[in-house]
Amino acid sequence: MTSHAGLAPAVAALWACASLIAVCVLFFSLLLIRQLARGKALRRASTRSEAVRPALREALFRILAGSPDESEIRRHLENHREDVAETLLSFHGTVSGGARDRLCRLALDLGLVHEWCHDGGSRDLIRRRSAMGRLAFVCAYEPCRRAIGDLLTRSLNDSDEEIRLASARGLVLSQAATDLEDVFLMALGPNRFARAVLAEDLRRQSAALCADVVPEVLKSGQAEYVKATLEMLAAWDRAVPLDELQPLIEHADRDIRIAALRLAPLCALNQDSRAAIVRAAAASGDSESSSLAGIAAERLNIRLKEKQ
Amino acid sequence: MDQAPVLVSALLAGAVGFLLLMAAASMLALFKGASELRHFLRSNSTDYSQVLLGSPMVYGVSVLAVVRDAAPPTRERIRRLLALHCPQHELVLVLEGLSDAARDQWVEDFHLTPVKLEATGGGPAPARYVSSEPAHLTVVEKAREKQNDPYNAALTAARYPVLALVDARVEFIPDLLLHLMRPLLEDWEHVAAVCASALPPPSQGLAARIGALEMLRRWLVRGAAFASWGKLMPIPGSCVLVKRSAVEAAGGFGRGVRQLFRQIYRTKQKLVFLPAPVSWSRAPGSFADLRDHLRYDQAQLAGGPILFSVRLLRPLIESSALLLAAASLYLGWIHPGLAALVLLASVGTGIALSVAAVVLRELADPGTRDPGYVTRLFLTAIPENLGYRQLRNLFLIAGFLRG
Repeated sequence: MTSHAGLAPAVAALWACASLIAVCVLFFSLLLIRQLARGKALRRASTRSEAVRPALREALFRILAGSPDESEIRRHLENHREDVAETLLSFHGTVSGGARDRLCRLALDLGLVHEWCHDGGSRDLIRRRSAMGRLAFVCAYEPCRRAIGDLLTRSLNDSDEEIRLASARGLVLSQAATDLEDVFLMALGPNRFARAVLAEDLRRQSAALCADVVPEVLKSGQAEYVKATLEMLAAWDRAVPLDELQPLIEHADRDIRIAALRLAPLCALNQDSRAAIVRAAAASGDSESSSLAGIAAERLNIRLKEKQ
Repeated sequence: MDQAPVLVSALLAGAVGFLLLMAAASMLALFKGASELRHFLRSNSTDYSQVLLGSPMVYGVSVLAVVRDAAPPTRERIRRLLALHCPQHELVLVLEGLSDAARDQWVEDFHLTPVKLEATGGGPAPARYVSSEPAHLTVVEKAREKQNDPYNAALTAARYPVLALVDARVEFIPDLLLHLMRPLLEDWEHVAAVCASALPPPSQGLAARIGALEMLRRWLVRGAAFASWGKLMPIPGSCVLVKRSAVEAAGGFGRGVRQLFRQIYRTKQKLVFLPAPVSWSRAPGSFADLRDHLRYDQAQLAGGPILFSVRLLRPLIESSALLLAAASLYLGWIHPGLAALVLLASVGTGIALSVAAVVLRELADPGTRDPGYVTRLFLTAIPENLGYRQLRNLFLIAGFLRG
């Protein structure tokens, strides 16, 4: 039997290590207790919300159907303000026209819109995001737009992408020409996700945009913007009041040529553009380009053989 | 012989130091992972899946899948992959090394029609089929060859600019591709791939809870923390959306997804980790399942210095130190304090890491799980590290040596 080597340091290290681990486990145990209590409170609040929401929805259905009785909503407003707002916004995308206006007026009357405007200026990102998403919904209603002022326009320069997108969607609903132009230019940026989302919203404003900003961008010569514009116009999948596509169909950039040929069947083209389609269909260098030109020619009733 | 106790004590002290160092590094990674998760949950926002579903601007996706049997669960999984929501998507299915009977089963079930292809290069072209069903399904049949070759065969048949790889053992939601697509669309220039993984839903039983603890640590460290450090590695239960151009630039699928990720990082492109509940691994139902999960995970992660230290060095040093400490204590060569220190550096740090993972996850996302389940998971850290951990170390060593 030998003496124990390194006795004192081993015991000291053991105590240090044991204490460290014990402190660590104790700390996390206390943290868990706190988190469980917090979680329990959150779950309780969620249960309360679930209980009250059907009644709120029912009351909102009545208001949407034309009932002037807001008493049920007002009764819940003090204790369930967030639930009232959430239930109101749950109709987003399912109502339009007069029904939507009634909801927006209700939000304004209940003071929710002013509250959201206040939150829209908050430094807390989550609060700001939530507020801007809600304001984007209600700004279809003119009195709400007046209450919101230029908050949405200012938020187009917010540091957060999500807020910029929500603001842009709200501005599209407001239908102001200058705002539409700003939103359209924003949609042409490098973020393809924002473009996909905004293209859906801007579809309804296609005529106004094609009258003004679209031709300007197409003539700008900035390849990325031109490409994005053509892509967005094709995504609208509706007749576009553009007649001059010839420079784009014969553009040096292949992506632009392809995008222009995809768009061509949706336009009422002039003679030069129609001739460009015929030339593109006859060209043998690029199979995708010639097949797209063929499709465009067929849709536009251009008889390829005769033209050739 | 007189020098033996001194030598053993020195070795054990070194092992304790190593284990404590590893534990400290793991704790740091857990904190980093939890912070990333919290950041993600805070920035999580409106669900635009429905908008993307109707948009022609969303890139087409080729989902690549490989099957090696025609069992009903496999066919069911392929049906689910065909039903994924996306404006444009196709499924490229590789039947690898199937018998004629199994191949015929696929042909019958999915109404496959052979497509004639001209032979390219030296050998004959693999047999290819298309489905006459409305679903966009292309099937490539090939003999069983080297690993990941089937994915390269699928790549050849794929036609869209984005590829999706869905882990064979994964559960997923139908909107999976739309959720994964968003980060790609937001930064198409710089993001090469998106990897999504979430924790499995709570399940009962000790094996399931130990499995959940393992997945939780893996998810926080290997997923969230490593992604923020530019070292993301695939996790069992993850789905990956990757740009076709990135795969082609990497020279195909090579030696697996992990290798592909490393190649992507070399080209200075970004990989995004999405800890959203869009896909998750099934919880293990038994200890045999748990071992199977471990083996599967290890097979996905061959090579690499970090894994070498986590998957071989640590288990080897820990197991050796425990054995050596027990033997030396029996022989009276070391002070019981040193033996206790070895045990503490192994079991104690393991418990501390597991409880930390449970609590940090709760801090990042409070109130979403049943408090009873969270408490049980917290307490599972004890049996996990007193028994299972030691066995797991042996499995890891054996798995590593087997290759």
